[in-house]
Amino acid sequence: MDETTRLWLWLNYATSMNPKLFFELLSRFDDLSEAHEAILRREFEQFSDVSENVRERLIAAADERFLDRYTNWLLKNGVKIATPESEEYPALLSEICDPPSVLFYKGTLPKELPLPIAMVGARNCTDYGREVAELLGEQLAERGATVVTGLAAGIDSAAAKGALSVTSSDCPVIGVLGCGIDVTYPQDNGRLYQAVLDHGGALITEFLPKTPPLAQNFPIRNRILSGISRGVVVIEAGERSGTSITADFAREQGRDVFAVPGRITDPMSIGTNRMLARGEAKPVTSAADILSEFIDDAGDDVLNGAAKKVTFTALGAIGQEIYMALLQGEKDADELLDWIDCSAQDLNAALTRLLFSEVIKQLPGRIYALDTIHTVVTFDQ
Amino acid sequence: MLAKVESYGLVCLNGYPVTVETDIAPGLPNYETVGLPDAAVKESRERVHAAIRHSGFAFPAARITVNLAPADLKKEGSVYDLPIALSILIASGCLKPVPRGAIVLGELALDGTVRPISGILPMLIDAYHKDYSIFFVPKDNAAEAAYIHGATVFPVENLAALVAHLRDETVIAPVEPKPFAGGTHKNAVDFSEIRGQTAAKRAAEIAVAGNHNILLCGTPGSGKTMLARALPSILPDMTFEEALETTKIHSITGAMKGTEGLVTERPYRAPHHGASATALIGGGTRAMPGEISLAHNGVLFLDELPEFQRNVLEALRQPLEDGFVTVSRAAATATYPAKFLLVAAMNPCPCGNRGSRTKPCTCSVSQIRRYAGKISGPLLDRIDLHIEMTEVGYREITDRKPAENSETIRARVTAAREIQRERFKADGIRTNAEMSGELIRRYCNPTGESEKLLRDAFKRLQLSARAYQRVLKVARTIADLENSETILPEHYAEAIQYRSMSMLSNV
Repeated sequence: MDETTRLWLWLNYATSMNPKLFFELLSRFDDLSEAHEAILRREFEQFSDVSENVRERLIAAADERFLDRYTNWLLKNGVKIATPESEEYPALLSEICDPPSVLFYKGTLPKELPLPIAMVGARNCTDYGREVAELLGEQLAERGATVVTGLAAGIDSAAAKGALSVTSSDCPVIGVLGCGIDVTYPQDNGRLYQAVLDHGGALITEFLPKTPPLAQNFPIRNRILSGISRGVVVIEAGERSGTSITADFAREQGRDVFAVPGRITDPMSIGTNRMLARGEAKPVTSAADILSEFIDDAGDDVLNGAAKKVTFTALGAIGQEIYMALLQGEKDADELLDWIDCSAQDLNAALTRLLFSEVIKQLPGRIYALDTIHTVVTFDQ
Repeated sequence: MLAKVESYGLVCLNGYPVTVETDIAPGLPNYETVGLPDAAVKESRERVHAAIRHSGFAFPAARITVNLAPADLKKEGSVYDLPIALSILIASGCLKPVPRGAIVLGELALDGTVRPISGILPMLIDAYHKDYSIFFVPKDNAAEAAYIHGATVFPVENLAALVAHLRDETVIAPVEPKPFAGGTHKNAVDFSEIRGQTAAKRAAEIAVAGNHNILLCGTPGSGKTMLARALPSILPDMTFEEALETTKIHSITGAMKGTEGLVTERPYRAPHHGASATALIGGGTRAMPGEISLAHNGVLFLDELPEFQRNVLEALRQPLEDGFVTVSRAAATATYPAKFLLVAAMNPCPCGNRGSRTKPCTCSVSQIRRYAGKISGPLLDRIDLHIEMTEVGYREITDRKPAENSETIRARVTAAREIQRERFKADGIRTNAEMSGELIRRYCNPTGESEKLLRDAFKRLQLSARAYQRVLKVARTIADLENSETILPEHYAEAIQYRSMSMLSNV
């Protein structure tokens, strides 16, 4: 690690998570080594306005042994460093108003990400949200966009999974963490983290190593999430949610904001629908709605364009009745039995066939719904 | 003079013949019992002495030695009073020897009356299989002994009557053989009382018809426990062999004392989830049977399955696969049969509301995973039917549409069991659930469309090889319920439904 990076790490560590202070101090010196020497000599004229706390950290971290230990730990754990001066620092990120002074990352981070699009949404999302996130993630990755997500539970993970399912893609998945680079959150997402790296993507964070995923970290993180992206897609957001904050950040940073509409009665769609109603976001009905803002050839404008087609007659007698019943909304097994005049065994056999041909899908609680994303039922004539 | 009378003993489930030998030799009056007798056997001297005198015979004033052979097995209880008294009378010359192939059992009162003993049925069954065919039993035990067809059972009221019979003076009439009739659970919930849940009831019917294990998963109040409680009402009648097997196990724990002598209803055991592995599997210093063996030929209901300790659940795996369990302790080792229908119930998540459309689930994904993860894959594989109960809405509670009653369902189940019994006559099993790999290949042979369905299922549901076989077995039962010789694609398609539970995957 070169001397400049070491000094950046020192000042970053000492000013912990305060980029404003970092750049303020940086501007007072021609060279960071001057600042470093000043601290080593205990000359505090140019640090008169910093708090006692920060001053102590500046002194403690200036110690060579400490810096050696710190940098060795980073090297040993495969953690790489990007500073606004280095090659790897995302170009879009340096345009925002308070860019992070140091980015810790794992994996590979190209300076120019191919069309980075952030996908954000609720952690306790609905099945609808999860399905849409996965599908949009997949289609964006397929058509040359880089999916940027927070890798939290719910929408974040679903979007990442969708994007990672595209093996042919050259576009990496970027995970922006709200905790230290060595912390896995949620704990059982370790496999997803690894998949992102295996896929040629990167995990990035501005938080110091070992920082726990505290609630206050996430709004700070979200500023990077939207900062490195050209557009932000909001998939599900409740009435008052962190997701809405991300969308606000994105608008302030001049990024395009998109929102996936939901049913107006769904609590998890209140936030997104409100953004759409106020004209703060562009509605998304397919990946093409997002891509057409940035590229000419955005492709198919139907979300389930790749769905296979099945004719109504091919569903069989009971299958047709199930289809008609589910057209009116999802139903559980017993409701289907009330709706359709057949025995439990005939219904079960028909359900298996429809499930296997992906005409319907099964939700928890033995509830069935049409799987319109995978299959479109066409009528003859 | 020397006399021999045959009697019987019992260790765990296994009987063994006991020969009561009596020698009367000249000398000072003396009485000695040898052959590892316990206190109750030793005390028989006093009872025998008094009983002989009060029955009008003379107790020989000589040197008497009573030996219970084989001498190396412990003899327990008061069963040997009657054979000892008889052998003394024979040895003293008042009586001819007892006919060959006769077994004598009974406790004596001081006045010579014969008192009933416990565990008589397992003993006599075993004796009958060892070619003993004449049984002298206490009169009060005659009802139980009457279930043994082909043997001559003499009910003995008192010592004098037995002696009169053996002298051909007053003949005791043998007991009329009694036909066996299995009983049903009288206080089980009737299926017609369960509103809605048509699909789950159908699964329960299949489970009982083929003796398949079943897992019920659903929101609290969806009727899991009620369905499990209703299950006994559709269990088919026990056959005599089954009743005997079950009775044997129950008699070891002493549960049979003071009852009719035979377990005629299929057992229904529902241990609380605090149960230890020993309580469930069996154990203790004497290697006693546990709940799984007490549920042999019946139902074992484990409510709140994930709340059981992990090691308890894992201990179930071997018996579920093999149908028996060997309990080994320092002092004793015993193998008990454990063929039971496992009915397990669980909530879909810790808060219980996952999959509910009226109440929100407050569990995090990792909480749900941890909860579902308490039940290991290998254990799930051994459960043939996975049923998600649907949420019961207001409409269904007030629904007055008449549902099928248990009697109708039981008739179908019984018919299906009859088909299975006929099919497996030569294979030594009774139900589809017990089929081995080879039998599955012989009796379930999916071709054409069925094969394609199963291939899809294997891929989509990521079935293990064992789970795949379970699907075949369930399909066999579904075909049997419809009295269809071949298993149609329809039957396979339905069987697959009972494996595609989204609660445990899809998280």
